[in-house]
Amino acid sequence: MTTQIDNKRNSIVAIDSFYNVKGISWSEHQIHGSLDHSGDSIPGELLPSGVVQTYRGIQFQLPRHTTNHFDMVSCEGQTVPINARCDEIAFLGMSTFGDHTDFVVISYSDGETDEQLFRISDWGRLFFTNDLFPDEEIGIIFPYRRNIQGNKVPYLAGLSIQKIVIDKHKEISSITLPPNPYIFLASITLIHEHE
Amino acid sequence: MILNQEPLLSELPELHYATWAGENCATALACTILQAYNKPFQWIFSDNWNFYYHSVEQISAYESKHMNNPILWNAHELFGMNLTVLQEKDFNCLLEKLPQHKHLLISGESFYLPWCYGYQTSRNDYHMFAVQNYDEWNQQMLVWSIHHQGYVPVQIIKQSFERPGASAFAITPPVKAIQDSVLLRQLQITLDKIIGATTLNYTSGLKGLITLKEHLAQAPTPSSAYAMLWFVQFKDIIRLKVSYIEFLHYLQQHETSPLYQSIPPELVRQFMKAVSHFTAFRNILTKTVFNNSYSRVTVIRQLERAIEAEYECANMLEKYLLA
Repeated sequence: MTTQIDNKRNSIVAIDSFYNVKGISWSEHQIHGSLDHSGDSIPGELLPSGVVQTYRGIQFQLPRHTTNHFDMVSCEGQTVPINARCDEIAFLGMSTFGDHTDFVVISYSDGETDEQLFRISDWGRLFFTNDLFPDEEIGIIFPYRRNIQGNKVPYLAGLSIQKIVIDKHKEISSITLPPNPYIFLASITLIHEHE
Repeated sequence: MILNQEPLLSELPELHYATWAGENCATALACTILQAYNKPFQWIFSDNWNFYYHSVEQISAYESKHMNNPILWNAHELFGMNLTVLQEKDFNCLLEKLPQHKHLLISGESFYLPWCYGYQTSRNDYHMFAVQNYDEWNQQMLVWSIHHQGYVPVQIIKQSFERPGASAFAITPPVKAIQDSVLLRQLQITLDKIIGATTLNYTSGLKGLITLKEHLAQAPTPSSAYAMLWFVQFKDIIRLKVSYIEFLHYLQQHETSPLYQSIPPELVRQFMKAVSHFTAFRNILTKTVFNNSYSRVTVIRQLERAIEAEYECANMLEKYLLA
C-alpha cells in the first residue's frame, strides 16, 4: 500500500508490517537494539521517530522507534506490495559487514518482471572513505553508533539513499527485496516526476 | 635533513564495482603504486575467484595457509613490482634508508595509528602505509594510507613500527607491461578455479562449495564459534571475488583493455549474482546461528543458489573462451 504526500511527487510505501529487526536503540530508556550479530544499533536520539523527513529532496517515512517493537526491515526476500506507477523507487537504508550488491525484482501488473541491481553501502563506509557507490547518496549521518553494551562508539555511520529507475508507463504490483539479511531498510518512497 | 619530493601517491584509484571500504590496506597501496606508474592496476585482481575447502575449520580464499597476499604476488608476477623486506628494527636506522628509496612501506601496529579502526583498542593488528619526505625540523613525515594522507608526527610512526611483528619494505617500481597472452591465461585460470579441483589438501571451486553443502546437510546447527570463524574466512573469499568483478569491469569498459566493449554484460552480471548469492548465504547462516533461528533447509537452499550461479558463470565463460 502506498500513501501520496502533499507535494504529489512522493508516495510512501508502507513497510511497517515487514519490520523484523530492532535496529534503533535508546540506552537511557533500556530499549535495546541489535542490527546483526555484533549487537550494534542506531542511537535513537539521532533519528526522528515516526515522522516524514526530507533527505536529498525525497520524503521518507521514518520508523517509530521509541518502543521495543521492531523498527527496520532486514532483507530476506520479502515481497512488498506496491500497486502504483512511478518513475523511480528510493530506498533509505544501509548494510552491515560490507558494502553489499544484490538484486531487487520489480513485478509489474502485466506479469512482467525486471531484476535490477541494488547496491547499498556499509553504514560505516564514511569512516573509511568519502565516497559511496556511484548511484548512491548520503541520507543521514550519525556521529556515533551504539554497541552491544549500549555505549556510544565514536565512528561515523549513516543511512544512504539508493534509487532505481522504473518503467513509468506500467503499474508495479510489488518489489521483492534481496535475500541478504545484512541489508537493512528504514523506508521506501516512490518518486513521481511532475506531469 | 629535509627531503621534499613530489608525493609518489595521490588519490586512491577509481573503482567501478568493488569499493575501497571493503579492501585492505596492502591492496589499496599496491593499486595506488601501480596507478602512479601508469599501470592498469585491475590486472592484479585477475585470478581472484578463489574458494578452497581445506577442512571444516579452514575454508579460505587461499590455496595454502602460508600463502602471501595474492594481490602483492600478482603485482610482482604481472608487473615486476617487488617489495624487499628491510632488516632494520630501529626506526632511526630505517630513516637512514629513506634517501636511497625515496619512499618506504611500513606495516605498523594499528594501535598507534589514529586513522585506523583499531587505534588505542586493538593489539597485534597491522596496517600497511607508505612514508616519504622526512621533515627533521618539524619531526613529521608524509604518510599515504588507504585511510589517511598527509603529514604525521614521526613519533606516531616510530611507535607503530617498533613493535614485534612490524616490518618495512622497499619498493622496486613496476616496469613490466602485460603481454597479450596473459589475458587468455588469466581467463582460463578463472574457469579452472570455478570448476575446482580435489587434491590431498583441499577441494576448491564448485567441488569445494559442494563439500561445504554436504557438511552442512549432515552437521547439527553450527556453534556460534564456527559461525564466527566462517564469517571471517568467507569475508576474504567475498572480498577477492568482488575484486575479480572489478577486473571484468575493467576488461569491458576501459579503453586500455584488450577486450574493450567486447565482454558480454550478461557475463559480468552473472559473476555479480554468484557473489551476491554467496554473500547472502554467509549472512543468513551467521544471523540465524546467532539469533537461534538456524534452518538447515534455508541455509542450504541459499548455498545452492550460489552453486547454481557459479555453474552458470563457468558455462558462460567457457562459451566466451571458445567463441
